[in-house]
Amino acid sequence: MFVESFVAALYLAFSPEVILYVAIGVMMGITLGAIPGLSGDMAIAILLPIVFFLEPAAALGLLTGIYKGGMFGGSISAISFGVPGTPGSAATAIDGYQAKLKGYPNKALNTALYSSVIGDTTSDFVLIFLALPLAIVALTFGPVEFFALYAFSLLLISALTKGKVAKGVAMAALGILLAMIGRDPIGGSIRLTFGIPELAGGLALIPVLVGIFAVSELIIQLGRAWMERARKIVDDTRRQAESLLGDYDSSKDKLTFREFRATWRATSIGTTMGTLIGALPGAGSSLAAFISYGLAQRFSRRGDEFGKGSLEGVAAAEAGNSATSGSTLIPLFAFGIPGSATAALFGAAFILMGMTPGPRLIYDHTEVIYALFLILIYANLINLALSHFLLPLYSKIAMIQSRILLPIVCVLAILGTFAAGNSVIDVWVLLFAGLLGVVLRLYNFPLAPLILGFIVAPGAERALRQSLLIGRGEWTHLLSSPIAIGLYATAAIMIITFTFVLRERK
Amino acid sequence: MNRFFTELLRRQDFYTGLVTILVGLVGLIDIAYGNWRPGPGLGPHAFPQLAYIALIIAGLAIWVDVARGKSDERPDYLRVTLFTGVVLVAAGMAMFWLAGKLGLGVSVLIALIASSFLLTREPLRHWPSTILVPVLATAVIWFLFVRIINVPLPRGLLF
Repeated sequence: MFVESFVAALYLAFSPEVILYVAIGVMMGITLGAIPGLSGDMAIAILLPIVFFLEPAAALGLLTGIYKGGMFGGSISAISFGVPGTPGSAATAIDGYQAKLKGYPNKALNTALYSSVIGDTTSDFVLIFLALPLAIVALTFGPVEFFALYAFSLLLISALTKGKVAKGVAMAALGILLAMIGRDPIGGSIRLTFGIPELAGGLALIPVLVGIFAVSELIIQLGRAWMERARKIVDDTRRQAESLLGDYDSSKDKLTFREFRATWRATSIGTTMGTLIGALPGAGSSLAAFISYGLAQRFSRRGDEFGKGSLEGVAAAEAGNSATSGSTLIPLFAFGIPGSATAALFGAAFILMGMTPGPRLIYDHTEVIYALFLILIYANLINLALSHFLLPLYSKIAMIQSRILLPIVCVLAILGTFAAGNSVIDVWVLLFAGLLGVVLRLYNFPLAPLILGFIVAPGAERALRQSLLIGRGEWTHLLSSPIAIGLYATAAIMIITFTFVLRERK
Repeated sequence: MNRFFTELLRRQDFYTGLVTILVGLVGLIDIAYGNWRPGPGLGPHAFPQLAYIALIIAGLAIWVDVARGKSDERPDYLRVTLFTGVVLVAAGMAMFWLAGKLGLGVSVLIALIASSFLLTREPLRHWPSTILVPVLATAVIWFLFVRIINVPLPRGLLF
């Protein structure tokens, strides 16, 4: 059975069409990740409706490629201009940009590329070997355990996102309320529709996801582009970047094996921390990169060089950032709970393709999931090869002004959302979710808990109500399972530990 | 004491917390007095009720942070960003409406050229990015949505 599924997965994963989509995805991801203001996550959100029209393996190949490429792409603008292309590459900018100023951007970019691929690949293997055993455990869960799991994720993601517990809890609650719009899943009565009959079916996942994540970011970037138009900021930045390259000698800027070997310890620390932190709901790549950077500095023999263009600093941050990529999918595959924004987007893609994220996903769609595992691994090699040869070109792409692409991305978001559901209401929801996202971003509310709340609320409500029906209305029934008690206790310990770690970091 | 409250009222997150609490309170009042049907077990109102209570607790926690001196700064470019958001929502609706009247290609082209002109200083001097890129992008979008995906968009008079 396993061999048959694996052979079928090999055929799926290595079909020329899928390889092509992975390569296109990697190039798109690097390009968008490299342009400040755009990101791989935004590209995944915009393309979600379009993957609906592709074969599952091709669609997952495209999304995986974008994800991998976007992870590394963010470091290109971080190193080239000191402007992180993605939040996860903010730590890379500390030493990467200093390295560029000292005249060795190519060494920094290559260090970032190799450590990113090493971190990413290791994390993918952890996902592959952990997802199945965890899914087997999850199959034994009943409503009490599932409610504890949902509560665990919501608590953790609220508490860990940027360390703003109160605002995180508020966002998780808002996400739950948005998910409550429409029909009650048990009794069938209509809730929170404000008398609008079109909302009786509830809010669809795609417009809410794309609106909150992509459209809100687009609006903020468009606002900035408008301000920059008035102040000439972009022209000045570009001129400054070009002048920095004035007396640059590329022949002296090649990464030697010895230099790369010297970063090995930092890469290992980043890989380990990134993989561990990535598996926790809400912790995110930015936190992983900064913790890896801090630890690598502490354990380095040349810790005083950190912040002054150290290649170890680049390696630790980039490995930490990229090592979250595989492990962040573990909760999604094992329990159906997305632990990060990207995992939520992948979860939405599964749902669009008729696959329900959760413990049964691997059993019900074995070939596709095995194919995805293979794609996750070889997409790293494609990323390595393409990035290695195209690095000089990508550094120039990072100088493309986002104002040229922003209107096109907006139009794609609107048309793509309509295409996914053939519903005009979805377009209105998309635009208003975008506006809501803007307000929340401006007032520093974290968006990941909102999305997680929106996704897990229906399952959490069903689990809670079923648990209480089984327990004849007794709330103590929620503590009747050792697994549930363990999950609540683990959540409490993790929140206390991370609050302490985050305070130390400050 | 008076100075303490005046200082609180000046902080951005005081109002953020206030809005959060108000949303929670309005929701709880709606559950208490609104038209909610009973259902099996906890009923359909129970989970929203938990969310509203969480909102109120979160709002109070934001106030506690404000009282301890922790508050986010007033956002930069607030008016410009909100104005851009409202314009984008209106433009998105207009583009979609126009697609049904003139056709997808024409309405997308108008939207892209108009936004490029708005975002670029001296747009005619930068014609490759303000005219050529929108024309090419429109062609790609039209080919993708009409020819390849075949999305049943509202048909217009032109293309």
